[in-house]
Amino acid sequence: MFIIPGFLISFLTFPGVIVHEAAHQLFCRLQGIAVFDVCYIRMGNPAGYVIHEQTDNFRKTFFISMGPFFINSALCILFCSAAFLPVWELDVFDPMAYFFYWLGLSMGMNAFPSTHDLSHIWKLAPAEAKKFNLLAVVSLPLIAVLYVLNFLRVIWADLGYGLAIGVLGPIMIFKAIS
Amino acid sequence: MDSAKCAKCGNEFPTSGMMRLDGQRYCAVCGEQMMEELHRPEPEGAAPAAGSVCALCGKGGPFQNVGGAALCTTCAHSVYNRDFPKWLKLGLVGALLLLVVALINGEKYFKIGKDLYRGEKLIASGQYDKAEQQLKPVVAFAPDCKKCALLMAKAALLAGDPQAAYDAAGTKKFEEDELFREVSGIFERATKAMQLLKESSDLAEASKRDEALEKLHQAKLAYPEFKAYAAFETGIDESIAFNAKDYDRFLELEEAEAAKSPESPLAVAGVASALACKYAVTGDEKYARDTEDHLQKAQTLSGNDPQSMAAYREYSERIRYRLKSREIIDKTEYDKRFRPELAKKEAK
Repeated sequence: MFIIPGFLISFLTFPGVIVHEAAHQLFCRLQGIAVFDVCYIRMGNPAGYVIHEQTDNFRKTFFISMGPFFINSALCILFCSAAFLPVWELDVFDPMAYFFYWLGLSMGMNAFPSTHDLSHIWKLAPAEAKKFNLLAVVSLPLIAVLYVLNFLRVIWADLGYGLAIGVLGPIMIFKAIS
Repeated sequence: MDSAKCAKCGNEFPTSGMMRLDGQRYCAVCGEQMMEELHRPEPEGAAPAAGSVCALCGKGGPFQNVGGAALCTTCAHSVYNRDFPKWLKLGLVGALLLLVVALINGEKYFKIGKDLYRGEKLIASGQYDKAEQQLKPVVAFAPDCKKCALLMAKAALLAGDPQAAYDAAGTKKFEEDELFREVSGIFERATKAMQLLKESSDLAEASKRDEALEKLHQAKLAYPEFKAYAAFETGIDESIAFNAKDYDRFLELEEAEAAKSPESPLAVAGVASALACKYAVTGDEKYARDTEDHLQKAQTLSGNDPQSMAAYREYSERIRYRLKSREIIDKTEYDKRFRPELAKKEAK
């Protein structure tokens, strides 16, 4: 297995790291949760962090922990869609398209919530699911998959996810509109 | 004996056995508990007792419990409304601008991509003619695109247009995959049919009608999608009539072909060729005038299509030679005499 230090990957995909942390902060603000400290990017592990107030409210916890996953994934699909055709389908060399594809991929690669974020939702979800909270019911399998994928980062699951949504997303969009 | 109520448990006790803390009276048990609590180290982040300082700015109260930390109202407001740094806001604006640039840059690809996916869908639904038209601009835009070239070739081959398929993918080298193997398979069938048609044409030249028709039948079996079998079948009879110098029959067949395909410049040119033969043998000027009229019509029908125009230049030159010299020779002979380079190329 080809091992690249985590900080180097974060450095190479820094726009995605910044957007991930900014999305955490944005969702904290939207959910009325206090933010004590934010680091958008640094050379270290983790590459960025948001220290925020803890809450027992499942909906708030869900959006704060999963917000970056949705924001980063959406941006990955958007940027990759703009660059997908010349890069993957038409074999046209367009440096701008490659730049946008890198930007999109950096978003997708940093979409996964950390195991720390997932543990917050995991702690609250079963009790909420028992109360038939639909969000909790739906989130359980998603959290389980993301947990596994987080551990599979050592075998490039984050890159795999970025590529998957950066390729399949645009294909689905173009097939739907054509 | 004086007595008083304990500020914690509310029971009454003799004042002599009570403790005073912060101006309040407590019984011995509650007082001890209070003392213990006061001396216990504060848990991290816990709200400090009144009179302490804000966990963030170090200033005095009033305090608000924020996630277990006592913060002054100013600090509490700031953590609940933590602003994004200026560089991040500028970065966000930059990212949005980049997204706009990306979409503008991608616009030229979106139309082509749409044509590509539509072409793919049309192939899947068996509408090969439409797919060929849809994929033409895609191949012109991205000539190195393997998928585009192979899909265009597949559509053209299945629409019965092997020339367009060859133009799209015939001279290119691609890595083998499922689509490549599928298109190669259809190409093989088409190539076999073209060879059989060539043999059929040679047999017709030699006036072997039955054998020529048999080869034509074999070609149909190999590649049934080809559109021009009917024209080839007529061509066999035309060829036999031409070689037999039966120019009335030749003209009749060419006119029937042109009536079937009035928009085809080649069919109209076939009539011009037969009329020129009639002029060559009769010397009747009416045939010469009709020949020119049909050539004119063939040129008009060719429009701006480069292939049709090139074909027009080739046959009009031979037909006009026939009018000028009143000598009837076929294309092979004409090329040998007047276009030796072309004759060599075609012989290869």
